Amino acid sequence: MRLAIAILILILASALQFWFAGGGMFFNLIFATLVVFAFFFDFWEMAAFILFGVFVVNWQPAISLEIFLFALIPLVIFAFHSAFKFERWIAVPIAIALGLSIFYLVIAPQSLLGDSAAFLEDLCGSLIWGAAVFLALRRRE
Amino acid sequence: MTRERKSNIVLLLCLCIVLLIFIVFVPSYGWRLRQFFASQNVVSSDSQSVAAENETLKAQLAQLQAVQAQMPTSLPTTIRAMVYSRYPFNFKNELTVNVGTEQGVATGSAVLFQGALIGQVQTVWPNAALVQTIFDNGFKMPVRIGARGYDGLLQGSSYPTVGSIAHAAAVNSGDIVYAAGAGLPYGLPIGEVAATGTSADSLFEQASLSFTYDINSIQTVAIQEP
Repeated sequence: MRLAIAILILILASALQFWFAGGGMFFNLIFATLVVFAFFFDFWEMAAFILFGVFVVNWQPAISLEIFLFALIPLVIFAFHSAFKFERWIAVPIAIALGLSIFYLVIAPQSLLGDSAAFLEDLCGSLIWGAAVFLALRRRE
Repeated sequence: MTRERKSNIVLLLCLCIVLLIFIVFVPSYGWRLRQFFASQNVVSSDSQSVAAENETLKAQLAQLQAVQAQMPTSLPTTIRAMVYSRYPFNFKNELTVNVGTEQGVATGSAVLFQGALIGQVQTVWPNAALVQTIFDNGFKMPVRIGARGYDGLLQGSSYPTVGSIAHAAAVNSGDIVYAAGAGLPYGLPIGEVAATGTSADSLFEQASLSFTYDINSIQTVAIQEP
C-alpha cells in the first residue's frame, strides 16, 4: 500500500512538474519527491523510484551531468540517513534545500548567483511539495 | 529476511531492470510520457500563421532593400521533425527532436518554426538531435536589423536581446531581426524589435525582441538540410 502511494505521488510530481514547465515555471518536484523518499524507503525501492525519475526526466538519448546528479543526490541522502538516522521532520527540508543548492551549484553556478529569484522560486516550490509528500507518507506509517 | 520481503526485492529488481532497459534503449517512451503530462498549450502545426508570415515577409523585404545582391534565390530545403522532449530544468533551453544523422541532420543546422529561426542543432544521434534554442543563455549569433541591415549580436536568454548595436543605428520598434551567422542561410527571420535602449556600459544600443510563437508550445519544427 505504501509503495502504491509512493508511485502515485511520483506520477503526480511528474505531471505537476511538466505541467508547470509547459507554462515556463520550473520546479524540481520529482527531485524533491525522491529526496523525501530517501527518508522512508529502502535501497531497492529507492533504486526503482530514482530510475523512474530518470526515465521521465531525461530529455536526450545520452547521460548528462544533470541526470547523473539527479540520481546521485537522493542516493547520497539515503546513505547519510541510513548511517546517521537523522530526525526526519527537520532533516527533510534541510536535505531538499541542500540537495537543490548542490544541484544548482554544480550545473549552473551563475544561475544561482546571477538569477537567484529563479532558484528561490524553485526552492520554495520544492519545499512546499516536499512537505506535502512528507506529511502524506508519515500519515501512512 | 521474510519471504514477503524477498519477493518484494525480486519485484523491485525486475522493475529496475525494466526501467534501465527503457532508459538505455527506448528513451522515447519517457518522452511520450512527458508529452502526456505537459499536453496543454500545444501548437501542433508548424505551418505559417498570419503573424509569422508577416514576420517572414518583413525579413524578406529587409533583405531586398539592404542586400539585394546577396539575397538567396531559394529557401533551404528542410527536414520535418517532431519535438520529442525539452530540457527539464531552468538552466538551459534545449529541445530533442526525432530526426538525426540517419535522416540527414547535421550539427549546426538551422531549426525553424513557422519560417522563423528558433535555434541550431547542437548534438546529433542516429535518430535524434539536440537543438539549442535562441532562448538558451549560451546562444549567441550575429544578426542584422531592419531594412538598413544594422549589425547586432543576438544574446539568448528567456527574453533574448540584440546587443552591440552602434549608437548611430536608427533601430525602431517593429524592425525585423534576421540571421547573419556563419553556416546558416542568410536572412532567416528571428523576431521583431520590441523596444530599444542603451546597454549597461553605455557603449552600445540594445534591443529586446518579440516573437510570434511560444517556445514552450512548439511540437514540430523544420531542420535545414546540410
